[in-house]
Amino acid sequence: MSLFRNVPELTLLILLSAACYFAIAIVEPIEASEFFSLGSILSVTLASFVLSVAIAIIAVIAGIGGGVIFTPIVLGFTSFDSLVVRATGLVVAMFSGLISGAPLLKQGLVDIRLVYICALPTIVGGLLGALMAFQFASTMGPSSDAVVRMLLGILLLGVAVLFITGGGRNDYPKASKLSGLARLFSLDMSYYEMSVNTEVKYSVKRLGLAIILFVGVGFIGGFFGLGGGWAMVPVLNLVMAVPLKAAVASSGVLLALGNAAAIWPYMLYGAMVPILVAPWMLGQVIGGIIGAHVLAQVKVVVVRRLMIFLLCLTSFKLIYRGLQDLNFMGGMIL
Amino acid sequence: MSQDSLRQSGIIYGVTIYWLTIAGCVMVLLGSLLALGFGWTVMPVNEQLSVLMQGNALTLSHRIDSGDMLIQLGLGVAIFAIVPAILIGVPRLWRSGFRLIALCGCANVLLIIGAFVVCYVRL
Repeated sequence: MSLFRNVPELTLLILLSAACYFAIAIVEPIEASEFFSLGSILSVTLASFVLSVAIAIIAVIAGIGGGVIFTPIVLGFTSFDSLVVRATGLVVAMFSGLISGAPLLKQGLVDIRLVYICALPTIVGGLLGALMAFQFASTMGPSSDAVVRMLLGILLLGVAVLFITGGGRNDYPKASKLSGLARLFSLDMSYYEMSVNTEVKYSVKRLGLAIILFVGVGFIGGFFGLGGGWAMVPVLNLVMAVPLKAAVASSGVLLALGNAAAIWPYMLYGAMVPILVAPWMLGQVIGGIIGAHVLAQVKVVVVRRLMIFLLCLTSFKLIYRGLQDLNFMGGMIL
Repeated sequence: MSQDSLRQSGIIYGVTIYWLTIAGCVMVLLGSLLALGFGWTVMPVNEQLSVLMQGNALTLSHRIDSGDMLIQLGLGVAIFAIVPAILIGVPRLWRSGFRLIALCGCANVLLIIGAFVVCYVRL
């Protein structure tokens, strides 16, 4: 309860959302169609909102974008057009990062230098990925959705393996002398680590390699509508030698900035359907605020295990559906 | 080079985005109420959902007088919040000696605005 007292804007947003959906339920202006009754439209909207809150909380705690949970599940288990799903996925990936940035920057866990530098290649990659998604859809025609589902399934299996192995985590890399590009930008940093009551100093390494990797991460995030937070933490931690806690915190902020350009093609080419995106955006904002505040009290191991289960299940379903749509497995029912 | 200025720029960035995103949320809520509650949409909601559920793409015209447009505007406000958030903090970074970082911030702004313009013109 103290969270709602300490963050009045969160309480206000929850109350406004509840009032809004209550008013919609009372007014009842929507006519039922052969597919949807008024009740089912409201149920879809409310379920999207609640699911989005849950995904945002998990995403902030696990240090990933929500897109990696949303996009595969919706692509795997519904028949929605893949570009529409990927557009909504980018919103899901972005908004929890946008809203959780302020508390993390105030705590000093995120260094704005890192965010501005790493965002540049991510934006370029993300924009290229988003434009390529439309090019791919127009070139491949109806089979593009099946190929996207299959590729995404394979990619997710790789992400699940990364989560299972833990990616060789490096909690507190040793600070060393700056060299190359990192020296040019004076990237020796520090943050206050509350758990050990000390200031942790670190120096960024291999910035050139990281920039190339961020272009790739951005491209995959923009193309599949995943965001890319799942790959940002390993790049920051393992390649750039940023301490794990700072890497997790930075990935969310970086994700929001890095996807800001990739979202425009989806929005301006009409792949973003407002009534579909609205409950997901609201849920991400509310869940993002809650996630940023309860981060310290939750066991991250539980979240990681849940993530691995979801990723494995979804990736198999995606690969199966991709193959089925390409008529490799016609007739079989999962 | 002052570490304080660096931290202040970060806080300005985060707080600006935080409040503009909340403002965007309120617009999205209002848009949802108009679209779902009063049926103020470019295309009836049940038709939109039916088209989507059948796996088809949906092309909506950008009409300013609709709940859909207000939702898009809310999303746009939240995404574009990044631009003022960076621009407000950049002069502080520049004055305190982090000039390359300030330039990177400006480059991010140019890329975000440039991407919007390019996509809008191609549309």
